[in-house]
Amino acid sequence: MPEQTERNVDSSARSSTMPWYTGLQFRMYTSFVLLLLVIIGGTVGVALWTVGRAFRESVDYTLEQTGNGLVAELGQRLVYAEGVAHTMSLLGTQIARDPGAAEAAEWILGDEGRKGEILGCGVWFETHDGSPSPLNAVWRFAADGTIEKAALEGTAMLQTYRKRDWYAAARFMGAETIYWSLPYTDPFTEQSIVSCSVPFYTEQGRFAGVATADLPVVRLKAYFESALSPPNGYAFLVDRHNRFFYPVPGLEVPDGNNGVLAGEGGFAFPSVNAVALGHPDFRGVANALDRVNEFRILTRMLRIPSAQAELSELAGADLGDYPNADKLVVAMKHDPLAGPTKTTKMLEQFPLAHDPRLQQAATVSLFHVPRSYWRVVVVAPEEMATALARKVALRVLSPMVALVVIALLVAFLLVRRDLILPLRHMRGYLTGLSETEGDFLQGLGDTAPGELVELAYAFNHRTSALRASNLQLREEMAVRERAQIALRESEARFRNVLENTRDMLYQLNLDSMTYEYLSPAAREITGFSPGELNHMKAAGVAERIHPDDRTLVERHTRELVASAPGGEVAHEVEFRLKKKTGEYIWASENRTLIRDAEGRPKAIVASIRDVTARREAEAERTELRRYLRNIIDSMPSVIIGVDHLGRVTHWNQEAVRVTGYDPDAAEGRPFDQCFPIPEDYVMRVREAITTGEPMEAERFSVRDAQDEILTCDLIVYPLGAENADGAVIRIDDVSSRVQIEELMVQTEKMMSVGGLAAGMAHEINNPLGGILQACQNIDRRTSDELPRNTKVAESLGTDIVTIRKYLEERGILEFISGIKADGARAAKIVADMLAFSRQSESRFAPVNVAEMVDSVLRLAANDYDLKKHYDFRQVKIVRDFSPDLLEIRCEKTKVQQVLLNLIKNAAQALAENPEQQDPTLVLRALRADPYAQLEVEDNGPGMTEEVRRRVFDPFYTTKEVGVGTGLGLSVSYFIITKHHKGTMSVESTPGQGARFIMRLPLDLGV
Amino acid sequence: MTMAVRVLIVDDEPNLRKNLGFYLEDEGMDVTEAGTVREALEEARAGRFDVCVMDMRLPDMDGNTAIMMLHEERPDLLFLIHTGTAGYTLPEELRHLGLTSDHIFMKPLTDMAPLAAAVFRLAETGRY
Repeated sequence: MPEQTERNVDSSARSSTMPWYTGLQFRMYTSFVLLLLVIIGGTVGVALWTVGRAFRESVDYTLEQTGNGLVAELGQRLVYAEGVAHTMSLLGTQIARDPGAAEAAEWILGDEGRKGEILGCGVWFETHDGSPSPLNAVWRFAADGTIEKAALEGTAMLQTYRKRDWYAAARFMGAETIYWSLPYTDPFTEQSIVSCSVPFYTEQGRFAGVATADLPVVRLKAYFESALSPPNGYAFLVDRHNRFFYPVPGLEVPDGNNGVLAGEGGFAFPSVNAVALGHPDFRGVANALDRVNEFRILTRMLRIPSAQAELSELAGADLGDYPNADKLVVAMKHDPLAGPTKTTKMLEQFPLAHDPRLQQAATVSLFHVPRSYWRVVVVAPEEMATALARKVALRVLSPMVALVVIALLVAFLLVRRDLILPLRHMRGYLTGLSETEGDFLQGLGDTAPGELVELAYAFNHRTSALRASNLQLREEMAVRERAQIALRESEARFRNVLENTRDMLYQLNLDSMTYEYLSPAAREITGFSPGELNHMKAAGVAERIHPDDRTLVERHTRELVASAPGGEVAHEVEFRLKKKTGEYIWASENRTLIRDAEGRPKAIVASIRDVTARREAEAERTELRRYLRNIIDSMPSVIIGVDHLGRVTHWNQEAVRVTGYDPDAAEGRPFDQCFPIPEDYVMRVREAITTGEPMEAERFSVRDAQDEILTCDLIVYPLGAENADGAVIRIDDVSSRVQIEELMVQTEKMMSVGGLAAGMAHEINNPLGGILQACQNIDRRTSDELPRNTKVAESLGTDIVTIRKYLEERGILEFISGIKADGARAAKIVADMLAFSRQSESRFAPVNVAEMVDSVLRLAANDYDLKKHYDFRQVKIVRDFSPDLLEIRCEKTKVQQVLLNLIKNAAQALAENPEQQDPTLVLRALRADPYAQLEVEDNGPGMTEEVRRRVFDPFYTTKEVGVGTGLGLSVSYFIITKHHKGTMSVESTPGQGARFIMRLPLDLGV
Repeated sequence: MTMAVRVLIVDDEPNLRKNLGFYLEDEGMDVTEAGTVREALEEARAGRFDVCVMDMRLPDMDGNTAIMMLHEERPDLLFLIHTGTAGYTLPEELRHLGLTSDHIFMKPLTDMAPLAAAVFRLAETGRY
């Protein structure tokens, strides 16, 4: 019956019910198509937007990391040059003292330069008159890798270096600080370079000059070009004045010099603004750079109060050709983007509508280079980001669209089976019913068969069911869409991390000892692809570990596997690993143990990082530290490092020598417990450490380990800001210098006395002659010995005896002998003074020491003055003549004069000290190569330090007026030091006597 | 009685010259004084002298040249030098005449006796 009905409906529908049926079918299909389009369109749109956004962020982040990486690696390169400049600055101080030290420069330059990182180095001295110092020197690597000392003569550099920024600015930097110059062309090699300069100082802390190390720009160029090149983007370096370090292809200055200037590495430095003139597209980059140019940086920096204060300290200094040098120095010290806490060096990131080099839209990122205030610009093509986003979106969307289509198809089939087919059945009824005229349901009316009514009900029910299912489907689809987008997003991030991380990641199954995962970075770290490593298995990889490190790694693995869950095992292990190429790298592996549900070790997850550069840098740092320590140890000064509490942190070899304490014994103790600094200086040193003000002290006495008294100078250099780092104390033994100074002063004094005496001797001697001769005549002509006197007296009615008596009675003869004695004394003073100038004809001859001393002792014993005042016989005389000194070559009379003088002084000194029960005079002669040493020692009252210091001064006397002329010892001194080219000194302890020591050269070339 | 010793004293300091003269007169010598070399030359031409005591710094000439001139005038005249010049040394030509350091007397003389003795010795022996 249904077939019958259907056929009937069909045949009748063709004639009467065709239009509404076709319309319904058409509307239904249209709805489906529209629904399909809306769902697909919406899904694609939402997915594209979300994925695109995520990728955009990821790309921006990657660009930032790339830039930070570039800056960090650039910083590493600068560190090499900074190390050399530092060492050169230490050498600079040495060269100032000993120009021969300059040879060490080649040694310092050695390895660093051969790597090509450094072109050369130099030392430039500050002179008082502004002329170039003859000590200035520059060393350059020649093409064959040898080091040459460049000739400075005739170069403009020699005349202008004090005006250069690397000199003018570095002089403000303070010790141990670094200044990076603007790029310029080295006049010696005609290569473009940047210089790293470090100032150095004299012993007194005065600015003495600047040491430089030069980095060839061609190396920086190569580095940036290899790090990033089109079409993946590009990066370049810009200096503080917004000039390129080298011309970048595609960014030429119109009609400007864009190429190589001279030689292989000499470049023009086109300015960013000049480039923007020729490339209006590039204006955006130029503007961004303008916002962070030197002027803007300095203006910003100077709002910091501490920077202002520091700047005012520099006011009035010579700025050379670099008017901003002072501000720049302050800015560099306060660089807010330097320091380890600043993880990103990015200043700005912005889109560029069209990059002239990449010929498309691009993202530009600006980075700051700490210390040098250069900037790195990274330009990445926009296309890369969008293409990536599109690709991923397609991959995400295609299965989704297919799913939606299938779902709709199923829905369509369901609707067709449950709705359209019953409809088709119903059409038969409806066709049958069509004669009744009227609306479908109304027309059905009461006359409709129950089946149709049921069908109508079913239809109604189906319609609502369909509506519900449709709604549910749509909701489900939306949920699934969101989930899938989130899943893809996180997957993309994860893959991004795995593929972009430079560390090699792996998971090792501990049962099979095979790799369950190996990240693509494995190829970069080991040289093997993940496939090759899989094939080698863990055992094969273990064989590539350096034999010396193998036990270490194996032990670590054992300990890790054996560790209790949650136990303390170091995760990190470092070892050398042989790459596929055969070279060894230092690898740092960070491992984590993974356990199964029962807590048994299941796998090891680890990341391996190539730390070769770090290990090499560490080794180099250690070497540099050792070298610096050597320098400090080989210095002739005591150098003591102390912390802010004055505890010793460094103790050099000279300190060990002087104090006898080993560094182990000294370090950690307060410096004044280890070094015998006088009490009042200790307070001043401590004050200097606390306040951070350098302090100097001169000429204090220190008793060393050998119990000898040294004269020392002391300088305290506080370290670091806010004296947080303590200070360096330098102590120099200046004993011999002080001695030489004393000697020079002495000689000078005597020479001036001598010169004066020679000029006036004649003028004084003549009147003295008149006085003395007149006295003698008075004496004679009043005596009764001359017959003529008697005769003349008688002719005048008196007699000479009476006259003589009268003169005696009235004391006149005494007056005359007084005049005579004083005249004689004046004559003696003039004669003594003359001794200082008169280089008498030398009569040097070998003299028997014992005989000479004995003859002097005889003279002394018979000396009228001595006999009158001092009882020489009571003095015990000890002759201590060494048998290896029989003869000395000298001017006998002169040396006798000296010995007589000393013996007389000693006798006088002994007489002054009546408490001395056992007055003794020791005369000693011994050989002290290359000198013959004569000593005169007494055990009299001795002398104070004050007297000892002045004892050889002309006219200095401790005797009563009239007893000594104050010239005896200075004449002696003059005879020994000037005539005999020897030395004369005195040692004395008050209350214990004095010892005069004369040294005469044994080989007196006469 | 033998002839008194004849002495010519050349010195520009009158006080010194006179005092030395008095002493030598008291010793019984025949003393003539001259304040300049010109005067000395005139005296030498006019009379005969055994010994000349010569100062070194004279207003018109230095003593060394004066000795050489007087020697040319009177080859038998013998000389003693009496000088206040610090570091005086005999020039070669005077050494040649026979003068030695024994014939040099440094001013100021606290005792003129050694000079008088030297004059006597020269006059007696007639040579240095």
